[in-house]
Amino acid sequence: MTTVSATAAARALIGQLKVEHGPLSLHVSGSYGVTVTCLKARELSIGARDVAMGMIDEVPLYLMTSEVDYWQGSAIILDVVSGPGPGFSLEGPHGVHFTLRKRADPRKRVWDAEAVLAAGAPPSISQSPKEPNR
Amino acid sequence: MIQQALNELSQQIRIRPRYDNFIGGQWVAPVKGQYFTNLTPVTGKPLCDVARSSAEDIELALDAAHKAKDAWGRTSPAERARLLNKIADKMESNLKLIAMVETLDNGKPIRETMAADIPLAIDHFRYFAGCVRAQEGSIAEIDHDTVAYHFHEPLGVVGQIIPWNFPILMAVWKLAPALAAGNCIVLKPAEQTPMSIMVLMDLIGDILPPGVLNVVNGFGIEAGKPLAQNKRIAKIAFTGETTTGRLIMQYASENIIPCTLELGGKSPNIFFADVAAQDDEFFDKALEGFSMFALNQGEVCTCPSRALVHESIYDKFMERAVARVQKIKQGHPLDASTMIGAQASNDQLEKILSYIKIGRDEGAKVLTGGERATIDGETAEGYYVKPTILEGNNKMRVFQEEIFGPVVSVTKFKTDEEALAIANDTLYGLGSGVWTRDGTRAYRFGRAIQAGRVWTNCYHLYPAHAAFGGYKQSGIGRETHKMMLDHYQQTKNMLVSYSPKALGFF
Repeated sequence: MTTVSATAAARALIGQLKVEHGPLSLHVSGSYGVTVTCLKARELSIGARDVAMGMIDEVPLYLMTSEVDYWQGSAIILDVVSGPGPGFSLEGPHGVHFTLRKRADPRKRVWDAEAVLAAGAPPSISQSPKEPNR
Repeated sequence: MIQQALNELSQQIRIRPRYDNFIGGQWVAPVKGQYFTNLTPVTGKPLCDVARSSAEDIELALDAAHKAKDAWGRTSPAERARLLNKIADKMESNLKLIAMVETLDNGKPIRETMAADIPLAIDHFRYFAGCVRAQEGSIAEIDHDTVAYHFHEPLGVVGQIIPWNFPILMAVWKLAPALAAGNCIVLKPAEQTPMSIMVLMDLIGDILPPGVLNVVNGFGIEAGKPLAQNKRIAKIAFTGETTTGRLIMQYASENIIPCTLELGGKSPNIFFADVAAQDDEFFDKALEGFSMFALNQGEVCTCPSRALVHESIYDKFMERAVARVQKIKQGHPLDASTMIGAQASNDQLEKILSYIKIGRDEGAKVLTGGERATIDGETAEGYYVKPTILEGNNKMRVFQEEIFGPVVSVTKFKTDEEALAIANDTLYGLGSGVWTRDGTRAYRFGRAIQAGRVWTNCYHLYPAHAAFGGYKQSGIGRETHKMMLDHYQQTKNMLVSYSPKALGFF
């Protein structure tokens, strides 16, 4: 189960950007650190490889299918940090940018289990399968 | 030290407290009259104000470029090459000035800007000056009386959007081939590092005819998008992150124009067992190659951020590698002995520190570094991170996501097959490194790695005349090679019949 949520600061910024630009969408890519790009809804053509992982105040958050496995079974939390982010994201002129926090649940993610194993935890933890969730 | 540097610079060139746009050979204030503050990462303090441009400014720049394009496109290759060489000469005679400004704007050490960024930029201008002189079209004899001529023609006016990690060098990678090919340009620097290219325009702006090169500053959404989506550009070139790369392609598709993209990376650096067969010069070179993750504070798309070391040499290799990394001297970027300077922005600093925490939380072991560095003096509030080595496995986030900082994630491998599988287990395919004394293995591996650049027994060399670009999600196109001229040119085919005879159809 992958969940999507947002900090109060992120929700406030989304509210502000909605006032300025209307309906929005959020897109995640794994380059330059995890980059979240906030665009006007339908600015980026949504393709067969875009997967909506959840909504934050009616704003969908999309991952590309190639990255979905990677976030599988974790809590995705949208947050805001200072400094303009890269690219064409709408919040740039506010001098801040969105970022993602990831809270992993080791029972559902093989690689975290490996980390736990390496730290000497009981091997049974690594047996939990990844749960598909689209 | 910063004030001293600015005073020194002011004696050689006008350091403006506020930079307007450079359009049509003039400094032009942004139409809406808005500016933003450019901070220096060296101290975290304001450096200058810069135009916060909008679509109206992009249109002004495009007006100027279109006005200049016919005459510039007809200029002879010899004349264009002469002007590119003149730019190179001007930059060379002002090397220290440009290097200092680049260091102030980006935070990278003066040692690197003096020895790498600016000298390379100079050489790329000279290289493309040479390329365009030597470029030839072709003639094909279709039959005895029918000849196909192929001419290279400029595209016209092109848009270029530049990243903040090498503000001048990345600009020149795009400027040099586009100018050599006879195009006019509207260029948008990164909002994180908008100053150095403007100082460069103060130096070289009068060498090119007005309107040939126009620079417009501002935020991506306010100035970059109206450029990328504009129906008056014939091509768009972009270096940056993936979602914006997709948008750029989409905008290009709206106008049915080509685009070249250089996007992210998560490059593997692979050390085979024979690297440590002898404790000699080559082993020392390999250890330096490992340490290359700290070059440019790790803010390189090709940062060798995943090191794969054969298990049989792992302990010995890592002991030496950690010691080598601990010798990297961190300090004031303007100090000539500093090897690693400041991260380019506060958000980069925060992002890197959060990744180090993520690594720890996932169970990665910190072998050295792992924290912010505080450098006493005026740099106390600058954005510094200690070079960091994390030990873990390839499924961890710190192995999969582009951190863009001086952080390397290290793991072991047992077999060649495993090394290759780990190397290719990434969405990206930009750079990679292979270190071995066995030429056959180097060849086999180099061909099997899904990346556009395989540094073999070296890393982070960026000479002109070696093609650079990405496989997979790392982009489209090849820069720093004469083939980039093709990305800035149309092919005109004139198919000519010298026969007086009708074809006989009608």
